Amino acid sequence: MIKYAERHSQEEVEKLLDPIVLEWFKGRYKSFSTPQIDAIYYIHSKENVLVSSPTGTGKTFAAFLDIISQLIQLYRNGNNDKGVKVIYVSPLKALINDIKKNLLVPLEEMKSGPEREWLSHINVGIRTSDSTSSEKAKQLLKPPTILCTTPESLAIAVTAPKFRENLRTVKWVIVDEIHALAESKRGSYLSLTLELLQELADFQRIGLSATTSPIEEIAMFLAGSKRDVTIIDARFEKKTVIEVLSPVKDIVRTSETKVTEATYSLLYRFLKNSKTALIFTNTRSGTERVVANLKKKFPDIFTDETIGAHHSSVSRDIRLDFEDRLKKGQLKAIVSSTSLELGIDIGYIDLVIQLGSPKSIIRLLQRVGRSGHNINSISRGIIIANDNDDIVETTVMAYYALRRELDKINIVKNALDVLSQIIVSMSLIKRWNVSEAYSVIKRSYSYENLEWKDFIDVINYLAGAYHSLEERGVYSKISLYKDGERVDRLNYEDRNAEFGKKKSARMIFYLNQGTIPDETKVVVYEGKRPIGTLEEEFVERLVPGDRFVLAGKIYEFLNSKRMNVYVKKADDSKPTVPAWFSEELPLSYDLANKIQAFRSSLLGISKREVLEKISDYPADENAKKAIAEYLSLMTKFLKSKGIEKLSSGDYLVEQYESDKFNIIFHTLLGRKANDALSRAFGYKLSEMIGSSVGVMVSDNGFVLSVDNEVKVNVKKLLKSVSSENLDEILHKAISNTELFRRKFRQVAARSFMILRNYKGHPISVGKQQFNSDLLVKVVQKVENFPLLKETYREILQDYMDISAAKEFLRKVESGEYRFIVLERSNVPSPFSFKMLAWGSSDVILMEDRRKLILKLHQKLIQFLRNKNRDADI
Amino acid sequence: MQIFKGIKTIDGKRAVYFEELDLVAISDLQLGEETYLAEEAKLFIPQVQLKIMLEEINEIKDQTKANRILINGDLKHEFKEATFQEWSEVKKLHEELKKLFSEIIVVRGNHDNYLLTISNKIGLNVVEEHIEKGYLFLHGHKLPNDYKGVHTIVIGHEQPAVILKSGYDRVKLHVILYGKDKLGHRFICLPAFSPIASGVEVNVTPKEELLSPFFHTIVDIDELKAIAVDPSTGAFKLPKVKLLRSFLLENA
Repeated sequence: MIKYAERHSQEEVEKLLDPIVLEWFKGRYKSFSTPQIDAIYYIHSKENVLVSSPTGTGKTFAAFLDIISQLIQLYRNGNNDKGVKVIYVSPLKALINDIKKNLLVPLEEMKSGPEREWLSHINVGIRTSDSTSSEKAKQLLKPPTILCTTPESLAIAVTAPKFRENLRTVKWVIVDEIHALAESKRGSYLSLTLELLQELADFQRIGLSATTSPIEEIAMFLAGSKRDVTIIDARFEKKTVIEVLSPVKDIVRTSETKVTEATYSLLYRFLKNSKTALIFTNTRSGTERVVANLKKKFPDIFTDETIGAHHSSVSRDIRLDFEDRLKKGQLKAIVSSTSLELGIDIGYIDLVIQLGSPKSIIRLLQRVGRSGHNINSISRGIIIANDNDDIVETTVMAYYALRRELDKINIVKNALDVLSQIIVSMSLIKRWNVSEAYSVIKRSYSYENLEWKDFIDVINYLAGAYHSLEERGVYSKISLYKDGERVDRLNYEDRNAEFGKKKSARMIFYLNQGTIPDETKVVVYEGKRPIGTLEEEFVERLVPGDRFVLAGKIYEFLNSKRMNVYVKKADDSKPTVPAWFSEELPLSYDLANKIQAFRSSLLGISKREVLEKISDYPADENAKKAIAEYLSLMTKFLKSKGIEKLSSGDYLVEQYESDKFNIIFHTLLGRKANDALSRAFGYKLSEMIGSSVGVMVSDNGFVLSVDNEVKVNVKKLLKSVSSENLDEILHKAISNTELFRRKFRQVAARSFMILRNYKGHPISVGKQQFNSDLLVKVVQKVENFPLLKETYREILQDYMDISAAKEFLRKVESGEYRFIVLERSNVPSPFSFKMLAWGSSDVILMEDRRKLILKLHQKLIQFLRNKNRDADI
Repeated sequence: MQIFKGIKTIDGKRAVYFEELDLVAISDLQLGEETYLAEEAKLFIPQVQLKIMLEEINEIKDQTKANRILINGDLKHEFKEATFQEWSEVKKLHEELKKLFSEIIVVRGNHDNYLLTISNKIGLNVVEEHIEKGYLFLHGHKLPNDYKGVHTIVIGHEQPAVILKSGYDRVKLHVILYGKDKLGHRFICLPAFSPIASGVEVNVTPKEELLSPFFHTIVDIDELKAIAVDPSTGAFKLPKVKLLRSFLLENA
């Protein structure tokens, strides 16, 4: 059962704390913040608790205060048995060291007083992949009271035959940054690991989360859907001020270069007037560029000492240096593209500047919430938009953020690759009855709906059932037993079979566990200059002449040698191959719907009326004028087509003739849902016309392109995809794509089908000898292969958003939504400009291979005729 | 479809039939690749190659009614000592081939280093090269000592394929390369028979990077023509590799 915390008072809570802790606290701080009070109260009441509040509001502190208080009481009463009592899990290895420091300081200070030497029984230890074996050996003999670790190291600890005994005394588990974990497979992994820990000890779960939504689901994720959780919702405790700014007066008609110039000037103005600002860009390359440009343009205040770029590969020394300079007030600005890696205390940031849209309301609030000196001061954020669509998007986003209407994150469910890893780890602990194992797994929220059939398929995969009898030795990772006898595979009826460990499995598990995909990157060179990296899968399919986007510029592929790719600039042409590896975040579905409603309500009315309607939206004069201008351009366009108004359920479909014939779907649903819809409609179109189709996907819609001579019946196309057949079409449409191969490779690595590391040696052989083509080709010939199923699931549910796409289609089918198809025209609508500018970003190949080959053969003959070489055929 | 007089394609199969010799030739089967990948690359893919290849070979027999088969090298994959999978698969392959063909000739390839250990035990005939009635069959990783009396050279090793691209359409096809070498012999390069071989794109790969010494000495690959073989279309003729290269660049 999920319940919300009731407010309690400082006095109530002071009575609950041990006098030593209380005295220490009062010596340093005036009072507790509200989330701290409630956290202490409910943790003390031995409940599972989820605390959700902006970063830097003392959450971690709140969690530990009561725990340390209880630990002191345990020790004071003479209860000092060996063993770990508290586990603190964070996804950020870099910050775990900081946590230890932040705990040791108060503990040291509490020790200073009469008869408190025994407090030194409470010690803090760290266990991560950086821990040395001697450190781990020490921990075995003298287990730390408080263990700070990562999800991966916790999984190893739970399976380590000797160390796991020290975990039987665990009473509290704190999961920090739980909002970030829930959204990823790492969260599924942790969730299952906690269920395995539950087999060793009965403990209280405390989740710490930044601003997120849906909060009840995160609470269930923390504790499993059957356990009780109390939610302490302090997400909106801090007063927040956000404004959207347009860098120029008329962004609609100003060139990109001028907009960029103006953005930097605006940045300069704000940075000059603030102590320390946190600037967010949306891509890593953007981060580097902004820092470089600020240093170049305004060297009076931006130097190496006063501004720095921060991202995940920054070393610990650099990070500590940043924090040090921050505290001394020497840093004017930190520029970053992700919020998670920043463990920086907000006490030092007074302004957050977001360049371009952060793509979700939650993310905006998480980022802006990093400013303001403590929970009682104001968080300030400004968004500097970079084009029309950006202004519209961020204005709506800021509006709802201030109204506290959040969008939602998606929690990963039933990931079979993570399950494979956990089953292997389970086998290392003991021999399990399959039904028992299944019920333990289903206690996790991430697997509460796991099907028995899928579970057994994974067991069979791990047991090597897909290989010949003789070869099982090499392939299997677990051993199977039926009635005490070794068997090779189970049937779905074998509910009492057992699985146990295999000799080599422990080593494989230790060296390869984890969910973060290993990406083989290839370095891209322009002449001798390295300009970036590409993923191996992408490079495999490149052919001389192919053009693609890298770090915002277009390049043409010349050739590749081993791990290097050589290109030349091709700025004046359009990309010919997909940029699916885009670094950009997708617009959230909920926010997309809000923007759709916003835009529709402002169409068909005058500029003055638009300005009236948006008068209380948090955007500056220029931004509001830009919105009015943009919308009125679209209104004019619609009028010319005989359309007076559009309701929020109306979705335009344009037929635009240029060098190609383009069908533009204005389905403002966010890129994930559009990825699904575009591939489905593109597949059907390709089938209908017997030709390959170019696809361009964005948050605001998608474009399908074909040759001009082709006749397309758009109305028929629109009817060809339904909520009923979407799954089936997508399965066919994605099975032969780079995306599929890439995801499959990652799933294969997580399920130990590909190993990164064996017997301590990283695998180097084989990279040249196999490619993802091979992998997928082989595996697709096998029926019921669970890793294939997981690849489809991950693509359709996590990477795309098939349920949002289905919901959209259902509403079209019921009449709640309508497609409004415009006549063929050689003038595109203002709303479509941005989508068209990027050209094709993917291709859906003709399904009929024979037709495809014949078509290309025809083109070849044409080519030869033009060269007068008929004789060669 | 005729490649040269008396030498034909077999529908869309990656194999060639020599009428005068009543012989089917295939190359680069790479049996045991799955285990190799498991051992060395720690890549545990299911074993499907052999089953598919046997199906293909049965169809080849049906179509040609040939009595003899020649495997032009790289029957197996492993460089080092034979693994169990290779043993059992080579044995199985041999058993099945014996049912269909009265003579089986295996030419040694660069991956067949320990093939002799297996072959002796199961009675499989392995040779360095095979010359018969002026036809020279060799894997292609080494040049022969001489060409006395040879009018046709058949190699494997390169695993040739070709990419065709135009507008949004693109496809990769396995091909049989054929033509005349600089000494006037008829020359054929067989595609890889293994279903999981991806093939080397000969109209993309720079000539210097080709593996076979033949292409660095007596054969100019650009002057060879290609026949694409694909199950969906059967066999069909393509122009010289030189023109296939420029087709790709023109359509960029």
